Amino acid sequence: MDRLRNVRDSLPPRLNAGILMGDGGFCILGWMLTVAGYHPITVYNSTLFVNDPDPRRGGLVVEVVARTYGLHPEQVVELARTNDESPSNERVSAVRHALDVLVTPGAT
Amino acid sequence: MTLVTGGELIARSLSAHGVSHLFGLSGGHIDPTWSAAPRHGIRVVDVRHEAAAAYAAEGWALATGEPGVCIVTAGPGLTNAVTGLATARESGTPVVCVAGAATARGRDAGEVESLDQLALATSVTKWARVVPHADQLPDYVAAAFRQAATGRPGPAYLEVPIDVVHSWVDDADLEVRAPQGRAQRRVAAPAELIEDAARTLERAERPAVLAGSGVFWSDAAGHLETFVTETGIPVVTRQQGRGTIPDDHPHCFGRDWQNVLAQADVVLVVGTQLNYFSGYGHFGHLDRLIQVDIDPTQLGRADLGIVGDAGAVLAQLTEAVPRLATDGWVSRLRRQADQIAIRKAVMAQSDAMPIHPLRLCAEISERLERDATVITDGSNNLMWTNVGFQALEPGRLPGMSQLGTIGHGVGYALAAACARPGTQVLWVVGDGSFGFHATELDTAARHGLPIVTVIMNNGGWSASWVPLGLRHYERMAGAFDGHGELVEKPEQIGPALSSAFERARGSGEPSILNVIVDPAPEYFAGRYLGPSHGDLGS
Repeated sequence: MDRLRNVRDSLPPRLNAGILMGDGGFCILGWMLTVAGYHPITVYNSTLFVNDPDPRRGGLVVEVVARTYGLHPEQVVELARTNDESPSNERVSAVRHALDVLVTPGAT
Repeated sequence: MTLVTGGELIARSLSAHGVSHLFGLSGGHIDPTWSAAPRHGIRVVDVRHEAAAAYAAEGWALATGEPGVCIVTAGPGLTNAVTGLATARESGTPVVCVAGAATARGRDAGEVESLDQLALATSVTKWARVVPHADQLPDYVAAAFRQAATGRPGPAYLEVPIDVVHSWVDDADLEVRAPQGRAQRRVAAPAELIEDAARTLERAERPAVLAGSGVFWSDAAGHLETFVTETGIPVVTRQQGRGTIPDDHPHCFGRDWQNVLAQADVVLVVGTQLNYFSGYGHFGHLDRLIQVDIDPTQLGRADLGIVGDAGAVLAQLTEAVPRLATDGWVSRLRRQADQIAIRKAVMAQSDAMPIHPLRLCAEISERLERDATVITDGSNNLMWTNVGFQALEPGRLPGMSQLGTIGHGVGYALAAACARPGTQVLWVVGDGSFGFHATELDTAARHGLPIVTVIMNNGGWSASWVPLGLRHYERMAGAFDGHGELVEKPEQIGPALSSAFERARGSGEPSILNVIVDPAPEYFAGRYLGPSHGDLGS
């Protein structure tokens, strides 16, 4: 829960849609992985995979984020949907609100 | 008695191996070969930096499927070429590099351009040798071609010291052997492994094929298409595998490997490494991973590893695997691909300024002929060009190598223009990568190679944002007797491209289109369009 609060409280000024990291910056999943200590190359220019040679750290991004933050994969999918489907100028606040819900006791 | 120089023997041997183009930069240590090459029907394409010579040799291989050859002089000539050789090694591209060198006697005496070249070359090539005597040159050249093209392809390095290349030998008894063709290198797999793979695919609910460079080097595009068409298994492609089955084939999902393989239960990997660019093979929901590779050292992560030539094994599997009931699975993937395509199309029609990168790709695609070669070069811009261009034929959409090299594309473009005269050749490059070897557009102009350069200029290094500013790179075209245009509005792209292609066809002059693109465009969100996560059994 502390890690999720960390993510919520450290959101960058801009989040990109649909890609973990690119010239538009991170999407929420890329940002969550970065906060958790993943280096940028593992999440670079990818939409579905965390490219880490260690199978315990790499794999489908939804599963890696779920594992890392103790979330259910469907919660990660919802978080990503909120990110991807929000207009760019409202994305950060929409994601912050979604994180607020997740850090509410009893949500996870 | 007929005396010939070592350089003459090299040129003659290269010609016997079918070499028609030699990419290089002149120097005293290689003069005899340089001057002999045209006498043997070899066109010497002299570049402005040896890295471009190595890239062009790699580009020749990517355009033709046969080894490309570069020649560089001693010392800095080789050190300049090192990145190109390392790129070819990491991507498994057959290249032969002939390098001049100081004499053995002079190495420790302070001879000019003296360096332990062999140690350097050994670390970035598949095979590296120094030729001790001129009369051994035909055998060493033949060995270099065998090393470059057989097994997992790669660069072979042949160092010829200046005293060897200038020495005279009697050629009366020297034999230059004809090389083996690709068809003679096909290695089939044991029947029991084919049977195991066939039954595994037959039992799968969601089988998929990941086809890579090995299919290209094996000249096995036809085998792949037959296998996929007859079994009904969907396929995605990586690296030089792009275009070995056309992106518009009903079972091909192009480069959308992440989405397809994330849902597959059995993946047949053919001729590609399970590395960073393929998620290290951690596809997520696999029951079994089958991998076919010519190199047994690549098979460590597979549940079933099959050593063999991609074409030979695909032909065996076509015989062994019946038509599978994949219609529902393929339809599901097609629906997902269609949804992603709709989202992409919105961006491809964007009228925004600065220009959205997908709008640029769409405008280019509209004006491409099917046999066009589009070389994509850069880092961040690849996220757009990878999805913005279709691969419709083998070797027509070369991109980034496993090494992550950038700036190489102009070398590839020079080679493609040599190998495919009369066809469209585009170098689509970021403004950062353009700066590495932009002077090679002089090479294009001098040799009448009508490359159309499209700069996706977002004004900086975007992987780790470092601004470069919006420079007028189009003005450089004037220095090379070419045509340059600045493109800032979406509606300017089409006319500028049409003009560039007309000039290429007509006067043969190269063009530079400097297109100002959005440095922070929205990406299309399409990653959760598939079945819900629970449907995949996690």
